[in-house]
Amino acid sequence: MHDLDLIDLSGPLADAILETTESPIVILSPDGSIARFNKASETLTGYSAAEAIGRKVWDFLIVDEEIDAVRGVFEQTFAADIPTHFTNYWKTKDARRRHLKWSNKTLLNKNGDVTNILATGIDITDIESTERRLSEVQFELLHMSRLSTLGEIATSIAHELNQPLTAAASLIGAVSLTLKKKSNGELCPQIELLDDAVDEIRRASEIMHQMRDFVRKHKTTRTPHDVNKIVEEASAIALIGADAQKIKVTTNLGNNIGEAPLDRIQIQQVVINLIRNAIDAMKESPERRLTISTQRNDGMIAIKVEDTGSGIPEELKTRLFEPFVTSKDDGLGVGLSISKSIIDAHQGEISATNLNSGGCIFTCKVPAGGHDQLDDNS
Amino acid sequence: MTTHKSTVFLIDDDVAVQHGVTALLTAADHSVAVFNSAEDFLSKLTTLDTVNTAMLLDVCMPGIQGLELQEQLYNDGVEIPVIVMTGHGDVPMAVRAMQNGAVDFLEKPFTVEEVVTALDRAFGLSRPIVKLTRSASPELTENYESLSPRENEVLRGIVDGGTSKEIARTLDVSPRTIEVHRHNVMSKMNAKSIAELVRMAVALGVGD
Repeated sequence: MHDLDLIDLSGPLADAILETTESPIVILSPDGSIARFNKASETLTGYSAAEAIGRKVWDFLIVDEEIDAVRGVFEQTFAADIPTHFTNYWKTKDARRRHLKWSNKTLLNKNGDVTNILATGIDITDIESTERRLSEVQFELLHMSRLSTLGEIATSIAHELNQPLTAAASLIGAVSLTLKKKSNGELCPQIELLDDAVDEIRRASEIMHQMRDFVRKHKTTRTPHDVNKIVEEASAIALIGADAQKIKVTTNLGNNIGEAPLDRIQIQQVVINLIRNAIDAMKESPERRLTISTQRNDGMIAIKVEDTGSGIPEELKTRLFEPFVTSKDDGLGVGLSISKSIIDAHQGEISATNLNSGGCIFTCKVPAGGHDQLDDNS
Repeated sequence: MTTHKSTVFLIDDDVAVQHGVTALLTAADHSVAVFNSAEDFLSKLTTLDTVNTAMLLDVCMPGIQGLELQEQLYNDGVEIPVIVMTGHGDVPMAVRAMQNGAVDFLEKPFTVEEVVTALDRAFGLSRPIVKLTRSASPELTENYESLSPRENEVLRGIVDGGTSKEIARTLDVSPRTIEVHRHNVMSKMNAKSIAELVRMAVALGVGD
């Protein structure tokens, strides 16, 4: 057991540590009053050490609803039993709430009595809000991706079914026309029946297209967004688990990329889709490098996702962006076709190129434009 | 009608559609030449007699799309009247095709009357194909000016390819109201079909 007392904690080494660390550190007496209040604590709370020292934490730092609990720890169980880890909220001098995660150490004298408690904190307020935001974005994306997958399928089915319906209506039309010519203008009930059949075929086609319109992806709402920020957020989500797969990720976001009028969720869906595809493509590769980059050129902003995977199979090259085309055993083959329709809707272009070194690179380009340039579209 | 048999170039990638539409056009006394794709047509173009011909062109095909083929033919000075075939409700595509110089558009699946009317129109054309430009007759302008502001908005909505439901949402009124406006627009403009309305709108420069 170390022989620590307050004198040691005021020494030059302790001073150097306490006053340079970015973690708030407080040293408390067993009665809950503050004996030391470091620089980071001052910055965090807005109280100076002079204001804080000697006061009990629950008299000014602890948020109202937690005062009883914190006092209880000190008064009933005494400081020796203070939990080594806990989180609580502090209120700052200007009445903001900060969430802090504490690691505590009781300091004993030679007789084994508690002289002080050393509490080292981490301000987790921002981390938590980022995490919350990330899971919100993730949720939105998941929802959108389901909706647009459904929309894409409905559109494809509508198109595919419309062809045989067109063929059938035309064949019946041919028969009807032939009968009409043979009947020389005389009334022929069979012709009416055939025309009714064509009407029904058209009705089927209409119902199908109404269904498609119903689930078709929402009209895009495009507002200027910082493209790098969008790519960063999307990458954070798409790369969850990438470490475990031993993928080396390089992010190379250009300076002065600026804004583009985008539907944030949709573009993130595209980026996530491209990154996930890249990760999937590298499953069997000995070397797994993923490069995500942005560039700005001639009024267009390019987002690029490059991998060292197996490349695009020759037979899929021309049909890569068509629906239901996939090289994955368990894939539906709608990801890239959705991505293409999203990028098309943004007046952009999406392309894929195999690299000589193996692997491939996907490039999405969208027209740049910030708040000032939006007036043209009104 | 001419006594010479007219030829229709049918360009569609779907075999069943080729079969059905060929039967229909044959019954309507046209000869038909079928092409699987825009590329297929272009590769045979120099061997084709294009006198008294018209083209039925699917806009949605793999490879060179219908609109691109139109563009290419126009640039090459090939003067075949083009009727485009679109999927149901794809008015924006139809509008673009009309702006590109298509004489009409047909929504799949179509009736005998629709295809016959469109082809009669195509074969009846004596002037070379031109891209539609603003060239409204005084009568058309007068009809257009008789539209109320709301009817004008509905016309724009239709030309932009909106369904009644979508236009209703944009203008914040019920779809039923839009249907009424739509009917009024068609009758005031004296348009018998959406295709005709689109043609008028392009001539008037609506939505430029």
